[in-house]
Amino acid sequence: MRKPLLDIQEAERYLLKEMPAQEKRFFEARMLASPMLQAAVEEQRQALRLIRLAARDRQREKLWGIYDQLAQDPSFAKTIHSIFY
Amino acid sequence: MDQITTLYREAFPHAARAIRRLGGGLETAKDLFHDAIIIYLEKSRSGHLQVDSSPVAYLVGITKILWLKGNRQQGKLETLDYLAHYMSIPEDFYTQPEEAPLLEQLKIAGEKCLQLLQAFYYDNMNMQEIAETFDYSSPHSATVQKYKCLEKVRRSFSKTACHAETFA
Repeated sequence: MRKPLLDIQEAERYLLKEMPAQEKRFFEARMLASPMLQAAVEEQRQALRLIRLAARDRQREKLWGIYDQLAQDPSFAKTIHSIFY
Repeated sequence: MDQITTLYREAFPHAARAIRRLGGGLETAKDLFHDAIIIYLEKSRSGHLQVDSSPVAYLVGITKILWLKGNRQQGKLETLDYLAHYMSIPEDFYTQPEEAPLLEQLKIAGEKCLQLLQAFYYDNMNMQEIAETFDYSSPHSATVQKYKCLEKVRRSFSKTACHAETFA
């Protein structure tokens, strides 16, 4: 793999808590010494969070689809209607 | 009917009644119940699900907590300590307003990349499963592709004007 990808892999091992204690301490020391590395790790942390947020949006769309599918069933639709109307 | 649809069919009327009793409407009930299912599925996958009750009771409990949180009824929430203890909502569950532009940027970064990244970071699939699902020749080539996708996403964030302001 080329160097930028190896850097991403290393940051991922840190963020996913896959580094042994000694390697983690060494990596954290490098971050303290390098604002650029610190910023890159923070950017990657944010990317992972946003990937999860996007996945939740995808799940929400699927669940709306499930509701629409169930609403076709007269017995389900009647039950829900009786609760709200 | 798959497992989630079966659970939905069984649990939603109970959750809907609970929200109705609290003064909410159908659309709100659906929104909150969907988030409850997502929390339930995430906790199941990560092994953090502590369920002393049935999945239906769990989903109804989470739906109620989300309603109370959304309506800032902290007093009532505290009376539901037994629920809150078992059903904590992840602190970072919702998208913050300042994250919305980045989220949109991510969605246009490439559908296949996003699917691959979600398969690993959200669905917790391993690289062997990902290679098979996404038609890569080996787990190694799927891994390289995963990092390329992450690189692409990070680059797209750097180009988003508000990024520097939001996360500096």
